[in-house]
Amino acid sequence: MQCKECRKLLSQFLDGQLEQGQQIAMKEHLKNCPECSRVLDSITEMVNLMHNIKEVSPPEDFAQKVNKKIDRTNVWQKFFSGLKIIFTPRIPAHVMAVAATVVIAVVIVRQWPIKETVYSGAALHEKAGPAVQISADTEKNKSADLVRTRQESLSKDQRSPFISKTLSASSVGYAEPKKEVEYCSGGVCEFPLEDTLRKKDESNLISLKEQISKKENKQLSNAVIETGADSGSKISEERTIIVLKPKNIKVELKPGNYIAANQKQVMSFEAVQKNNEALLIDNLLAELNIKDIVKVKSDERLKYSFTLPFGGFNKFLTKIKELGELKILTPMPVLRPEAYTSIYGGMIRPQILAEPIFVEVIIADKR
Amino acid sequence: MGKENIVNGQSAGDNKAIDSALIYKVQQGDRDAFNELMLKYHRRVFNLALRILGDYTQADEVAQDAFVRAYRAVSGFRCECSFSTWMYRITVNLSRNYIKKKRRFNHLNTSFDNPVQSNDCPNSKYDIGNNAATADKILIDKEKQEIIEKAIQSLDEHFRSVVVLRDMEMLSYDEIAGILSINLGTVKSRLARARAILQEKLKDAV
Repeated sequence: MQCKECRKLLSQFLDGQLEQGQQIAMKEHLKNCPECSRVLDSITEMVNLMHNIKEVSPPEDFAQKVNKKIDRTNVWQKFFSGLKIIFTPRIPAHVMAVAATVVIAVVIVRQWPIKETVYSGAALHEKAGPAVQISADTEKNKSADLVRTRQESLSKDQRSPFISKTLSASSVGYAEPKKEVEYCSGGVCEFPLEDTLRKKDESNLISLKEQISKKENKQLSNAVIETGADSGSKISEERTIIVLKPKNIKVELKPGNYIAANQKQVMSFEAVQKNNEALLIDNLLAELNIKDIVKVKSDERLKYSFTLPFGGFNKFLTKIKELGELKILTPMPVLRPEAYTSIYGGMIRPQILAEPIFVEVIIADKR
Repeated sequence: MGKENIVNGQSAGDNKAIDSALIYKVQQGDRDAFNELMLKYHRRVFNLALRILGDYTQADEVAQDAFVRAYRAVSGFRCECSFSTWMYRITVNLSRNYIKKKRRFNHLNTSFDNPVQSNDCPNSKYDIGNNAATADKILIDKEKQEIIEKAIQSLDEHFRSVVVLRDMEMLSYDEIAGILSINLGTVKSRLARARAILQEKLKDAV
């Protein structure tokens, strides 16, 4: 057997999939060919590593969500069977279903007057409630407040602290807004709340649903967020999201946890700094112009706590990656600058997206 | 035999019989039976989606959709293949559809890392101050696994599916052929090619 043929059959040899004759020929060749043996060892090691990749637990409420979806589609099925009785049987059911879905989807979407997306910050548009204008001043310094509530007549309850906090974040490095976008605050949610948070540590992560049920005063509102991508050069599509009115919810955070609470995404992760002498995080945060950093040293850990502005998190991650000096130990979630909508069973499925992000970085001493 | 054939310590044969009984009940409208099946397989389905898609949130959505689809289609299930194979097939197809849809939207997705199992999360695991050698090994293995996961994600979807089903789910070649609706020869050639590509990508890193 030649090396070329051997290499082609290595995979099957590893899995015991060769016929006896080929198996024997392979063994003979490998005995005398260190290069092919090396390749086999390399593939074997790789396959063993893949075997050992640990399973990840799905979200705790997985079954609940599946059952909810099934119940939702059952409602639509009953609706369409009702339509079947009314309409002529010459129209195929699946055609009617598609037509009805399109009609309903259009009706749902058009409930909100949709503004053109023109800026890469966040703009909220809600269904009900008094209107508040967001505008951005392209002349001012980039750290200028982007939110201006126009009506002094709004009562305190009507003014959304979430909106003002979120949109007062600076837009360093982002495209400047070009025109005003209207949004409303207040209103009642008409979509079921979707929990898109991931639970990694059950004892420490509290889902938005639990927060709501604990507090029992769910002031949910529909909102449309238009958000740009991290580069600031892409204008994204419109999204539908659920926005929670913030309450004083205390959450204990551990490394690797990721939650959204009080309209801020909070993330903690642990890292090891390869070069103990370099003040890596300090320099990085100075470079990103992040202020109000809290540093706490305990045992062999140094914990940084700070808030990254809108879009800052991806910049932060990119910088860390580029520097390559920080080895992240705990898993970090994917943070998408944009959410997405999907049509499932005729309903628009909302996602949750909130900025800015409060980050804790724990640097462990590696001695 | 694949991981899914040994579930809760039962043999493949017993498992199939139990699943068939549950499926029959589901076909009669028994939601509890469906939930039982879901409880049994949701972790495997989720991890399969996760390995193909490389993203926790996406995998969650696809895995949920797989079970919903299975529930809606269960009346047509004839038990020729095992329930797990059927679920895997649905999951792979949905994952592929998802990848195609994702390509169309061309998401900008900055991902530093994807979450792995939560046992790795607590900081108490990393007692770096005491045993540097152990910590180094943990880091090196973890690093290798992360590199492999990223390499798998970079594979073309056809290759990715076979590698995930064989080397992570540890299914047999026949089972893989059934799930992907391809013949045995194609499984062999795709797997060999996928492993060769991975080995080439990883030769300096692993």
